[in-house]
Amino acid sequence: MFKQNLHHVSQAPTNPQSEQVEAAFDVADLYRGPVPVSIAEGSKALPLDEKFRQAYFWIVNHAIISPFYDIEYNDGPPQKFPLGDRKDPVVLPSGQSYCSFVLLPLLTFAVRAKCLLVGGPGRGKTSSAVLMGILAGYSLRDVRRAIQKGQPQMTVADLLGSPLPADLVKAESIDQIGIAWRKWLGMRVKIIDEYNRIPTRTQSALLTLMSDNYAELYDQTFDCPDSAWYLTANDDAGGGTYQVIEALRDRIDIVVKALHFNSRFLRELLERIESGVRPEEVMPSEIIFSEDEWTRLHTAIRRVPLPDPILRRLEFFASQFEYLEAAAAQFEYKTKDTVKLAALDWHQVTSQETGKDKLKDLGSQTRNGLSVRALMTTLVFVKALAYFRGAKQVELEDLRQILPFVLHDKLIQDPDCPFFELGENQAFRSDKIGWIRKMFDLACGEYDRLQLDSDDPVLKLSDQFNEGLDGLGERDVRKRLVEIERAVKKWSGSRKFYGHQYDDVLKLKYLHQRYSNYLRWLKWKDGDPE
Amino acid sequence: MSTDPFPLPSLRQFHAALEADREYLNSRFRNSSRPGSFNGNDFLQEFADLAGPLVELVALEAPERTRQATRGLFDSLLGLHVSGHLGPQPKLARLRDLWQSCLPRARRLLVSDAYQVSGALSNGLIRVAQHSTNSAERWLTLMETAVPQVESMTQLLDVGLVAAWFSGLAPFRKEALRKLAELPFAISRTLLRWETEGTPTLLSQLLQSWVADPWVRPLPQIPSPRNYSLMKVGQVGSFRGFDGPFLYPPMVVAESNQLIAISGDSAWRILGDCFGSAAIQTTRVPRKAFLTPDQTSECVKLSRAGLIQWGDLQTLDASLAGASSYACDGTTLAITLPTSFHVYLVARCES
Repeated sequence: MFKQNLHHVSQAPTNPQSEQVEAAFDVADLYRGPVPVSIAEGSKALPLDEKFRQAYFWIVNHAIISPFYDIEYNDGPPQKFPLGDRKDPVVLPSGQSYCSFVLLPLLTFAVRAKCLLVGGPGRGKTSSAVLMGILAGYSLRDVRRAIQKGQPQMTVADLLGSPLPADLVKAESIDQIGIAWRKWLGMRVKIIDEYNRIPTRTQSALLTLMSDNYAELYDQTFDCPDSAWYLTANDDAGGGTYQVIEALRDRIDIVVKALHFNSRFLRELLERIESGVRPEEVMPSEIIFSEDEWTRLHTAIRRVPLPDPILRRLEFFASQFEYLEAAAAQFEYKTKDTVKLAALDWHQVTSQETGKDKLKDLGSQTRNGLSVRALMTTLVFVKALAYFRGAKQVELEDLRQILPFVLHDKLIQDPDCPFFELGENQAFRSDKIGWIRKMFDLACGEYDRLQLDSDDPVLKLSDQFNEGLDGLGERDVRKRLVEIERAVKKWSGSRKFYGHQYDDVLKLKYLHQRYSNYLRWLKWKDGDPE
Repeated sequence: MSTDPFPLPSLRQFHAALEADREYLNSRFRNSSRPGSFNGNDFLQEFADLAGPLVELVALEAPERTRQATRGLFDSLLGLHVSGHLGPQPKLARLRDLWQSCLPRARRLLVSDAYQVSGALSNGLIRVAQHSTNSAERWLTLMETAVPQVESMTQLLDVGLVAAWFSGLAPFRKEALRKLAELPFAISRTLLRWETEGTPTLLSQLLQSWVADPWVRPLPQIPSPRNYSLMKVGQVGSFRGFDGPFLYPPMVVAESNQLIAISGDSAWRILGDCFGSAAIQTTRVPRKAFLTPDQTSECVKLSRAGLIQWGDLQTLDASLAGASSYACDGTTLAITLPTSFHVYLVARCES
């Protein structure tokens, strides 16, 4: 594989469903000649999504030896073969599939997110991040020098910069002190190697950078440009030399595992050694993104439509996790977050949970719900994945594939849940990707069983409300209030009450309150002597 | 006497790169398809002469790209030697000038991808030279002046395309007009040889003028008053035995605002503008009657004596007397003679 020309960027469209441009007079004739240059086929710049895919295929074919296709897409029924004692299937996908270790850092680059690369030492985590830096147009030298290497003696000054010594002496006030900011702060790709070896105090400075995108020293601030972040850690649990503060962990948008090296590809390694060529030194210029192209890429991704039916399924899935009946008496506070804030024993609280089938209830499997940040990250990444595939809009499979990687560190598993006691589910205690995907499949199954696509009273009431209140009379408002109360009453009769119903009831309460306020206003308006 | 603007004390980095990649480069040479007469020593000498200084320039900019540049230039030069365009008896001697005087000015681009840059420019010069030697000279001069300002590979290709048009390759006109509008003004000005004159507004006006009239001269100021006259602006084609396209003396027709020359059963589209003219073979052979002298077309009249009347202008050109056919596409008048293998072009130009 490595003997192929490293300069080669595939000329064939990477996704045949893309539109083919009609060939006009071929100005590429100017550059056809005895030297076979790949740009000879056309002096036009690649469309951005095609360039994006070309970058993926160049990396996966020439740079990183990672022959895995764990992000699986199927055009038709795939072939599945049960293997081993447990008879877990190996799937041969029927559609174009991708390697998460290559694709997800690339998506992170496109949407300017924060990616944590985890895995044992020597598995290509830092190399993958370096490739992203070169993809952004930086030289290899600049990228390598800008890598922040976590180590126990790392100080805030090491990370951010130092005050200019002359200013320290001369300054009469703190704002007169000039700061020599570290060069890496201004880069569009930022790499932190072994972030779990950074001491806690310095982690706080890093947190400010990652969350608010500015650095502060001696009352001086440096506003960093938007950038893609790559952090590496050797330990999946985030331990290492220092405990990573939770707020910092929470800023990570996506977690990517460095997969093991498949020994059947040892020859590729040998060829690489013999040729002495490093892929990061020979990335073709055609796949390098200028700053303008990077910005346009981000804009294009955000514009990818997300159809309502897909969004609805994501809503249904996300609503499964937060509700915990025993957490409070006030309905709004019946959440796992309430228990966490009260620092109560988890099992003590959850043992009071009755009335739910804990094998069926997805919420029982987690110790927390999904934050706004996690949901926003999901939305951005699912659009990026759809864009990468050349799809006109987000598809359900895009959501199914991306969710586990985004929520990997966001959803905390309760391994004592009865769900994991079942034989076929025990592997999910360690396989978090498989677990989250399984939960999504179960949620979609439940969604279909409830026929929510065609029979969703809460959606109907929401749509009705979204049409607006202008011109709505008192009679119509009362009618709607009754409908809302009837819907809530329907659930109050049932002993079993699940997470998605919790969010539905809260939505109904919200609608009820909005209509009630409007009714009060109508009465006040009609009662106005003028 | 050497006028090398980029004097370098040694080829130390180049030699280091050769040593580091010795096996790789040797295997590339072994695996290449070379003709029997290929002389490896000649190639090595030329590789050192042409690629060595470029590698040193790359090393000054980005030392970590030195090996990549060496490999890329090696592959590029090997391709040119195998094809015979370089070597002891090169098909195109001007290629050496490209490598020695033009490529050093593109050092920033060489850092990012030496193979693509050297390959594309070499192929470009070869293509332009196929049109004419004069075109190649002009293209090379334009590229030497413009390349230092180029910032990306895409821009380099666009500049090459515009330079090709300006060097007389009329078929590239339509695409080059589009690229010229997109290029930074500083580069466009360089290509137009406006030096410090001209403005973006003037360029914009010029581009619009060119859409309507390909014979507008690219002057940095609009002359006032504007005086027009009819003049012979070029001739296209020649006998096939002299490297031209026509087996028989051609005749011309106008169809769908295009000038078509027909010789035997084949047809060529005639393209002409202020930079040059060309005949491009087309599969579409119009079946239309030829206009002969004294037959009036929509806008032009040509007499047997060679008197051309075009709107309010007229001129007498005795060399065009006894024409076998003529045709006009609105901006260019094409005339053929019964004993000539050329197509003569006349246009309304500023005098």
